Amino acid sequence: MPLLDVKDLSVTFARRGQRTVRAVDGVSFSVEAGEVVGLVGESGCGKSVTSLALMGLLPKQRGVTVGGSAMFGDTDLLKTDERTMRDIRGRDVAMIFQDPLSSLNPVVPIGVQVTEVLARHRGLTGAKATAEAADLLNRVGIPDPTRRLKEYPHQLSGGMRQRALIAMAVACAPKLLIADEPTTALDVTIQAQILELLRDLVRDSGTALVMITHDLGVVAGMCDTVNVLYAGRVVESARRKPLFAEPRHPYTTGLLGSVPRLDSGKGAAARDPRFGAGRPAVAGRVRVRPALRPPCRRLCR
Amino acid sequence: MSTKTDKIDALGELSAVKQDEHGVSLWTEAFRRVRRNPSALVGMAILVLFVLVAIIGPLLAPYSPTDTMGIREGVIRPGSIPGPSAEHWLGYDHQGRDQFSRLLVGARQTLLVGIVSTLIGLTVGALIGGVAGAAAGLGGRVGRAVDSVLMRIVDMLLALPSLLLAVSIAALLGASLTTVMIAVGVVSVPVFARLLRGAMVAQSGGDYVLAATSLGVKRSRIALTHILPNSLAPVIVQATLTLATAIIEAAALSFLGLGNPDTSTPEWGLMLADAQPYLDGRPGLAIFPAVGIIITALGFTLLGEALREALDPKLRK
Repeated sequence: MPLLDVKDLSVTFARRGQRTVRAVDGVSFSVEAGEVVGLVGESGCGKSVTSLALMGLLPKQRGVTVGGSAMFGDTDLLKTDERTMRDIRGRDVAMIFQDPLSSLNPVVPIGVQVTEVLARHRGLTGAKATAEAADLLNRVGIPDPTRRLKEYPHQLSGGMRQRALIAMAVACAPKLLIADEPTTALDVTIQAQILELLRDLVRDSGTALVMITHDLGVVAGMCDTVNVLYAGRVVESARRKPLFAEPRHPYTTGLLGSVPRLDSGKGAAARDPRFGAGRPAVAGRVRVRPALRPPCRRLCR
Repeated sequence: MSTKTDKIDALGELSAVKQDEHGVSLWTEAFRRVRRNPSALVGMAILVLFVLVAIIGPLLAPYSPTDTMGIREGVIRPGSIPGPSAEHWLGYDHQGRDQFSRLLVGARQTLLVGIVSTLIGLTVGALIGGVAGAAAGLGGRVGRAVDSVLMRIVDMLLALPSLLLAVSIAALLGASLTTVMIAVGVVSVPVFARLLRGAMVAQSGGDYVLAATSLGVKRSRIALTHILPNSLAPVIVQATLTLATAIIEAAALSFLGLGNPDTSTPEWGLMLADAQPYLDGRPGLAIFPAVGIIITALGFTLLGEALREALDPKLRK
């Protein structure tokens, strides 16, 4: 039985006077304990909305509808009431966000932000909590943790901020960690360090990791299983190696082909007949799906 | 912004050594910026002078502010109030009291009224705004209802012209110094409430609130340790600016005769009111307390604006 089993997840946003947007449309995937699962796709394909839906963090307003199921053990994360969700968040399932600066409270020292998680889920307070927080910072590779605990987010470098956020996320040894583009806001050398840290943490603690990214390099380096999302749907789901060796869906081919290469020259991907030469490149946004001709060269068959 | 961050990053190790034990909070940095702002320095100089006078004014005063010596000495006659002289720098007032002494002693009550009434407005307003803001930002459907009710009450207060509201409160409670403080305070309640509520609602959408929620932190704690401290900056700025208007409004209420019924105790607004019949012959009687009020209000305003600049992240260079 998988640790997390997402079945037919759908999220729609309805707004009066505007067309209903189906951001996630029947997404299914599962995560085994200790496994690293990638959710890959371009901006707007529903990666982040999927993660927010799993965490129960989508705004609870009229117009936001979440369907399907996400079994985590015996609980359905999508149907659990808010009170139980608050206990689950941070303790069993935790999340790492994209922008480490804005995800930390600017006016509160790092230490307070780390210890509040420890106090909430592990009942640690006072000196014990501080010692544990320092230990956590140490584990995520922040040097001189005792001093850093007293500092404010703006005094830390970008990489260190993300490390601090990771420390908060793994503070209670969650069974499942969701990382939503954890390296996008960081520069390349720091990206590599953060990915290595995540890989080590996951290996040492047996935490399962859902890695949300648009970066195929990250996928190649980390994930056991990969789900390719496009326009709110999983278009291909495969183990890592077969995905890169023989992608089945044309969109996956396109995604792989969109990685710039030194030898391919400018615009090579756009001219490549394999993923629809002459079609305007999908730049940053998926158009409404019914209106979109599938970018499939096999369509004429 | 980015160059500054780069510098902080580059100097991270270096500055960290200097800071030894404590981190530099955004507040510490804001005060550093205030100190570098020339108009803030002018404002603070004015305020220091004003507070000093308020504290030790009675000791500096050459005469008793209630001694009607001009009448006793027979220099005050209908239509003739002696102006400035070597003995009486600002002359006598209409009851033959030394104007300069009254100005010095009056500073204390003026400051007291300003501070107390601002504190009343700040406390009550922040309480209402804080509850409404937290409820609106985190409380779901029930929270939004609580917020609506509180804010409609505040809207009703705001709909009344402030001076009219103050006059009705003063009329209701009877003329006294406490009344003036309460009236002026109540008038500023809606301003603080709306400001804090708005800031808190805006902050509730912040990434760090989402991040804290994703870690299971309780809503009450998120409201108190995360949202509230991030929403205080505009409220503090407003408090400084309100001090200025509170002094002017208190003066206006005194001027209308709704202030301290013991008219022998000097207060700038009251002195202004007393000077009214003599504007033709002795404009100085009105000008000096008015200048006092204006300069003090200017001091608070300068400081408030500097604080606003220092705390506004958008203006940070």
